[in-house]
Amino acid sequence: MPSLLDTIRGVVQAHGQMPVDVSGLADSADLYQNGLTSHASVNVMLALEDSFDVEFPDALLKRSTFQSLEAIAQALETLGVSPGAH
Amino acid sequence: MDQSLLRHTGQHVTRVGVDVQDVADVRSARERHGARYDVRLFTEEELSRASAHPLTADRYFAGRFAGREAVLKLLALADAPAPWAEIAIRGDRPLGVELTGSAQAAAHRWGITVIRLSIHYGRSRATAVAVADAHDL
Repeated sequence: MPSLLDTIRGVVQAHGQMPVDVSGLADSADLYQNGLTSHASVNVMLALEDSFDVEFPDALLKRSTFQSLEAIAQALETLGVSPGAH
Repeated sequence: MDQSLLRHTGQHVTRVGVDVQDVADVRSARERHGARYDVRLFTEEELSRASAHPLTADRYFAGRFAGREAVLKLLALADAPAPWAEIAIRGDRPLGVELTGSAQAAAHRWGITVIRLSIHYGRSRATAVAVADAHDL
């Protein structure tokens, strides 16, 4: 079973429209510096909601939530998503 | 592509925010996520106008998204929560900008009372420019 970070990486790869291979990015790598646009972060947000059956509240709809794979993981954990296998 | 410019004019500055949005990216997002995309990003007024607007909804929403991003850059709101919900673009010609929450607070800090917004709809991209007189902080 993939880990939470692995699942997030897959969602960002599929929906982030990034010019780099997300599989090669460190968990802490800045996604915006690696080409994630504001609009693509909306795609990522909606796809994460589908994948984890959660809804991001307004308080989490900010740039820093989607700054890195680990920042996304931390945000999902605050929504009750387990850090274990998915 | 985006940028925020600052032109000094004595004790005041002119703040400018610019954003460009690909129409194809909006089309793709709407195809993938359906109505959730529209509802999460746009006001009821915008949703209503989109259905009756002579532009395709994809081009219309690309312009509105670029408009919000241009205003965000003008206000230097890099990490505000729910920024899209706090910036309402009203009307059509002329466009109006209404702010609430942290966007309104940022405008107050800058001494901004009016934001003038222009959106250009190209074939594949929408470009928005937001301009406001502000204090020189």
